[in-house]
Amino acid sequence: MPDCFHTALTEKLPNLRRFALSLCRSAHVADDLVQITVERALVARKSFDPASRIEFWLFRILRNAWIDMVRKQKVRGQELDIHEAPDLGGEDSHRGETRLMVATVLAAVDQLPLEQREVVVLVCFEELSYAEAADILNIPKGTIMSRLSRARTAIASKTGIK
Amino acid sequence: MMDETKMTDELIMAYADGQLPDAEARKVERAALADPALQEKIRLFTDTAQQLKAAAAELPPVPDSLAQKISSILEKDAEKPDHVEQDNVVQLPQRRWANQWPAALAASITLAIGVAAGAALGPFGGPQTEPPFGLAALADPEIAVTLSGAASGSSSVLGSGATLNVIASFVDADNTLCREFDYEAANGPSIVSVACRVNDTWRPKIAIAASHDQAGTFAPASSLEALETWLSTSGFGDALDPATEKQRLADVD
Repeated sequence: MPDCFHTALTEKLPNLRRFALSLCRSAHVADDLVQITVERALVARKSFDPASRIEFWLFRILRNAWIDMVRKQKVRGQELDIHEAPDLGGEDSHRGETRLMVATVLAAVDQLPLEQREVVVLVCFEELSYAEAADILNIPKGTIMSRLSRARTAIASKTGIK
Repeated sequence: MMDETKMTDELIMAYADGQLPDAEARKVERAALADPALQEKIRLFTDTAQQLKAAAAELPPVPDSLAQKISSILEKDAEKPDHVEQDNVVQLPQRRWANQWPAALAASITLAIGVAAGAALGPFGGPQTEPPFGLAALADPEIAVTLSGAASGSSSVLGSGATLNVIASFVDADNTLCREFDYEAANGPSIVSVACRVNDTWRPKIAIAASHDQAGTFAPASSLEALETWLSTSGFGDALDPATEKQRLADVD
């Protein structure tokens, strides 16, 4: 019998991976983060409230995993491998005029500082509210708003939206 | 009176994103009427929201290596013995045979009356015992006759005026044929039950009383969840396909 929890996890893999990529900008670190997230979610599944949105819960697990990872790397004196080309949009998304705009927007997102990038991904890509994003990132809603407005202004100038 | 609200980027963005309370949103709108620069700012935020949304529609594909790793993690997790008990995501719409449930039934389950392993249905096999408390409805002898012949998905009107909907057939861990059905008495509650063919007798394993409330509105389906939990912990396989079911029913007669 299919396990609803497993199904929900599997369905959210692309979203988790995109959020992971926005944090670490490395495909293989992102894959590790997604795997850690799934493992932690399975262990903690009893703490998941089925009435709430699973992605919200998963994003928080993923972000905590990322913080852990960064902390560990610092302790070990190692740098995360972030030299791979970041790819928030996938290989196939760069064709045609709309595709070009999509690629331009994604490139602009990619150039944002991490603190703005993660807010953009949660609010504009994953369509969470400011309050939900604030909860996941553990910062005040006002900070979400100032980071997001700065990010959007930067994106607009890079993509010529103005 | 002058509107003193300062039109910060954050406020304008929240307006463009529809995340401002009505009163504040009206303030932004009023201020924008006479302020082309503000109008342009609003456009900047609505445009970026749209562009980002369009970009978000194309999720980067999950690499096969990751997908495989995750699916093997999930497979291992599914093999854990305490797996079923862990499951706190009960989603009725994804129920195995959800599409085979009569629509009215899903809306009407109100009370579980429990497992009745000892009772026999109808005239087949052994001495006929008094129906146990709460299972009087299942004393209708035609239930057993219908269960032995009718295909799943069929609906039969019995002599008593009751309707019997056969929902699905499946086998338990011992390869015993079991059938899930819904019995709607002419007046009174409906019963959802699973009966298994043991010693030439249909024996109900679980029965759940369902009734339409008077307003015809949806009742909490928690009892249906109880049935689902019971099914998922009782070692039943998937519902039999029509051909297999026909074969198994032929053996019953």
